[in-house]
Amino acid sequence: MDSARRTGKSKFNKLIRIAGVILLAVVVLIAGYVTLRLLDDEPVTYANIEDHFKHGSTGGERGWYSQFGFGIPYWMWIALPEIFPEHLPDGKAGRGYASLGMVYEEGKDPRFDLPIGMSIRRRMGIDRVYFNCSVCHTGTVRAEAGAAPQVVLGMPANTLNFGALGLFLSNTAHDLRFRPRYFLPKIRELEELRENEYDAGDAYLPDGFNFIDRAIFNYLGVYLMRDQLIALMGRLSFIDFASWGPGRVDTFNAPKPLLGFDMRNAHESELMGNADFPSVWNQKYRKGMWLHWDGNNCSVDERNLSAGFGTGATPPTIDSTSVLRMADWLWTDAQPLPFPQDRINQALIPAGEQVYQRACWQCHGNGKAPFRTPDDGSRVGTVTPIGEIGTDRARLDSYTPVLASAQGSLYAGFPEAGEAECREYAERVCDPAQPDEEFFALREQCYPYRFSHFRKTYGYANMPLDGLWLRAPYLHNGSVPTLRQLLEPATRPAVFYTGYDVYDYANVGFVTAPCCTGPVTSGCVQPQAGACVPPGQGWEFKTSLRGNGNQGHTYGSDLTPAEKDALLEYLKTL
Amino acid sequence: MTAMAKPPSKFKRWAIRILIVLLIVGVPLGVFAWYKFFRSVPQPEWITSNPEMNFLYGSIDSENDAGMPYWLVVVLPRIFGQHLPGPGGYASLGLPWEEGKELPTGFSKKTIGFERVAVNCALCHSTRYRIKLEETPVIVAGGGSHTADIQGLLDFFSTAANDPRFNADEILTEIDLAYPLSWIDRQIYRYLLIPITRKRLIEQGQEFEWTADRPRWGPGRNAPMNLTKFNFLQMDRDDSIDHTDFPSLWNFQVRIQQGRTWPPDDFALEADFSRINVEPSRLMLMNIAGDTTSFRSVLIDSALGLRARNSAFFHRRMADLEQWLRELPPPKYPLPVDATLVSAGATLFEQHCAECHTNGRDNRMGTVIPIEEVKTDPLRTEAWLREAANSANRKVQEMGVERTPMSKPDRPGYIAMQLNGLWLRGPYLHNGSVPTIRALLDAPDQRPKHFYRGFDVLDPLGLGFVSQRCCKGAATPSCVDPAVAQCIPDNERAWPYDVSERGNGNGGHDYGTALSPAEKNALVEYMKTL
Repeated sequence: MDSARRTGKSKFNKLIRIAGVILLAVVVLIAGYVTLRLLDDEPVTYANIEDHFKHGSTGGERGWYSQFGFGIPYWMWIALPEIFPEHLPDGKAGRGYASLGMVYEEGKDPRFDLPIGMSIRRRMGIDRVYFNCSVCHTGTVRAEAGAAPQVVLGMPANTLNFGALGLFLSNTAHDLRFRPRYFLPKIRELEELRENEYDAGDAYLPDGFNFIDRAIFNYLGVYLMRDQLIALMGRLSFIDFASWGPGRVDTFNAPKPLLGFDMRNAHESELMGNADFPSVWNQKYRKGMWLHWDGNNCSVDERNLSAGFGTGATPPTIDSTSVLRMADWLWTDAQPLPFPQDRINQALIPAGEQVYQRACWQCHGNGKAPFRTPDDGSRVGTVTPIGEIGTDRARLDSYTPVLASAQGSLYAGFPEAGEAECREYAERVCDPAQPDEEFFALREQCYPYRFSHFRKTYGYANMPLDGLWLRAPYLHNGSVPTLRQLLEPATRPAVFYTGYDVYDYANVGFVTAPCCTGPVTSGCVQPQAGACVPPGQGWEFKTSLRGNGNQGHTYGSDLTPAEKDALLEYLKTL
Repeated sequence: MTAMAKPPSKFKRWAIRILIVLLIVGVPLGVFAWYKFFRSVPQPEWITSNPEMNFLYGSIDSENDAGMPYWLVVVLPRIFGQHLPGPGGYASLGLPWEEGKELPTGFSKKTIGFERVAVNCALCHSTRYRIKLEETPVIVAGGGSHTADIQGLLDFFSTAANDPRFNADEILTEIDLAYPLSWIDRQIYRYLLIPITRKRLIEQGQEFEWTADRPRWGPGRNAPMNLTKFNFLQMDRDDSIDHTDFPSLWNFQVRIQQGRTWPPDDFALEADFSRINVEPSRLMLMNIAGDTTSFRSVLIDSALGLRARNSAFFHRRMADLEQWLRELPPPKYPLPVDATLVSAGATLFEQHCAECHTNGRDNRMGTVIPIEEVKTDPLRTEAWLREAANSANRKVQEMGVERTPMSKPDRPGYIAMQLNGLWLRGPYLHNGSVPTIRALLDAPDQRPKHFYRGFDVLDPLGLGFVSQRCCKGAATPSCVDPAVAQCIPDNERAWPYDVSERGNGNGGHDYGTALSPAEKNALVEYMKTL
């Protein structure tokens, strides 16, 4: 009797023990999976430097919770234009974000591939995408409507309507369909479509959702994403995104909420800071020049880090190695596409160069790198007072003295090596005479570092003119379409259309006149008569709107017609 | 048979084991605690080896008792931007901020275990000016700040601390956006630094409750004697008003003449003037109303008010500061002056002003001019009492500090100030109630009853700062046509000053008001050179 009970009891104990071991094993497995999954942080990398510039990660995808940069899960990014085509400018699904001016390279499938300017990073088991430097600094140009666009890295993103992209994300986040019930079936549908119709070649292929991912997104992920979008766009709601247009951004109003500024009490004069994306070639020769349209910082490194915030690269998220790899390529290697030789009147170039020396060199320096030499007397890289240059001052006023001061607290706590250790680096970061090897060596342990070179200025900076033809439209706010019009202020149009990448080689700038849809009215061009922007393409730029003024910079307007012609031919060669 | 050694008693064995455990645990803990909370690291050389930088950013050894954890100082303006007067973080409070520096002047950062930020003399005694609107302000160390809204700064911290969002989750999230704190530092912030700071800031807010039903200080002023009475001495509240502009501290040597001051090594607990061998009318005292007897006392008491510690470092700093400020040259007026007018003005100054305002003579400069004579707003003199002075002296002695006593002149009044750097010291009179020197030369009922302060563009005609807003349409008496004269544009903040508020009276000091306009212009031109 006793032994039966004992064996019964020991059998029970054995069962308990086995169950315990199994439970323990399950717990360990789950813990292991969760740990591994939470710890991963793998960007998709590229051996080729141009690919790295186009798609390398700056770290922006790493942000989570309430970070400012945040990885948008790949499948959600892909699904958004498919679920919400009516929030896109052309209302059409199947083209990714092309209607917002994002650039998809030849052979890429906009439904599944990322446009130039986006990177992928696997973080916490989810492939996320976000922006990188090339989203604002890669443009396209073509000779005529039928031709394939040429992608030019380092060029201002003339087609990208970043403001409209922000509004798209905000509008979808406010749409009642931003819920798992719409996303998950659409994602499943897209996964199947991709399976059947898409060939990635040797490109990275983000995994489809497994059952765990689907559960995460069903109960948490979609809502988190919506919350992030609404929170981010909410903080930026004082900015007029719809006014940006292709090729432009309100550079310095965006950092103000990052620093906690309560913009409800801000004065009207600081709320319109729209400016063109700049080109980013030849950074070596810009070391020590006063950078940004208003010349508010002389450090290329600081300027890059500051712009990097726009890609989600913040002090805790930045992938410094990756960013420096891009920066180093922009140092001297990245170069603009040359102006087509057969469209230059070569004979006029020597005369044009002389006119340039006389009428432009004083402010803009040498036409080719190096743009200045010590003590040559040019003012390239310095600020021309607003009263002198006379251009629209809204961008200048958007950068306020208090912002300049407050930016001194960005990257506080860096460099990790300590401020005392890195004083030499910080002090010489604006010294063009410093040898590159020394600069790179000091930067090794001192990057990133606390911003210490921002200043408030009272004018706009004189820039070098490398790749000038690709930097249209002109002036800081892109209010003058062609160089010809810059030299002939009376011909500067009051209304024109931007974002169209067909080039006007004669006048040096993109085609911006709209095609006439009826009888010829002022400003429109008959399609048979010449290149024009077809209806529905291009974005209406009105110079009468705040910040869009096209007055000022009338230098050269008093040259003779022959001198202007020669000058234009020379400017084409820069 | 060998004798067996007696085994240690059970108690002894356990005692040894416990001791070993304590040592194994305690020593690293002790080292950790020292490292994280007490280890003192000197400030960087660029601060300590340069007297000007040391004044602006150097420690006065107050970080231990009043330093706020560094990351809180960095992120609080980002979280509670809506509790600041406008965009700009600390810059929105008018605090001078050198471009490229991490914090405004007057903030010192020092590691004592963890990084802390405290305030120093420069918070109230660094000033700034612009010549024209569109230029970067020049910051001048040692000047009385006319833009710093110190009450706004205090309000910001206490409003933030009382805001339910002042909690570890919210704050650590914001810090995460700025810097990857180590796990240990996060726990230290979460469980110690954030709750302790919150408690202290709430307490500090309560300590300043007495300001709530009195007129605002406004930029460039504080309530120095009430601060001392209510906060430092815990005296009962009265309803006195003592708003006083922050003074400029350069060239202080002129306020100290041999044989005319309280004996510098007399640390009595009561300033009994009958004991000393100086005639009352020749006695040189300190503070605007003669509330203390030596410059060193002023420095020490002001620093103690900022919770500086009575340490060897502190005393060295005080000695260095005194030396530096005594000899600090006043800033030179940055615009050209009319030599003819200056010379005419010099003569007039000699006739009408020198008795009280010229340095280096056996005259009334640095002495208390009785209130019946100077007739300016008397409330400041009524705010301080002999009992308070004696109480302060006892308390400072209890703290272990020796310095000459605080005082109360037998005949209350205001000190005839030295006028060095006068061009940078607007607005004028102890309460900043007269915007320009030219207005001071007008009869009191002609002086502006309403103007603005806190705007830092110089007024080269009146001497002082531009003090009226630009008209937006037709000109009215209270605005200035921008086409005609300089004025404050509406995108710049400035604080409305109303002379009818208690303590803001702009009467009295009517010397020179009977001169002709031409004479007044000459006088003003001369005073630019002081």
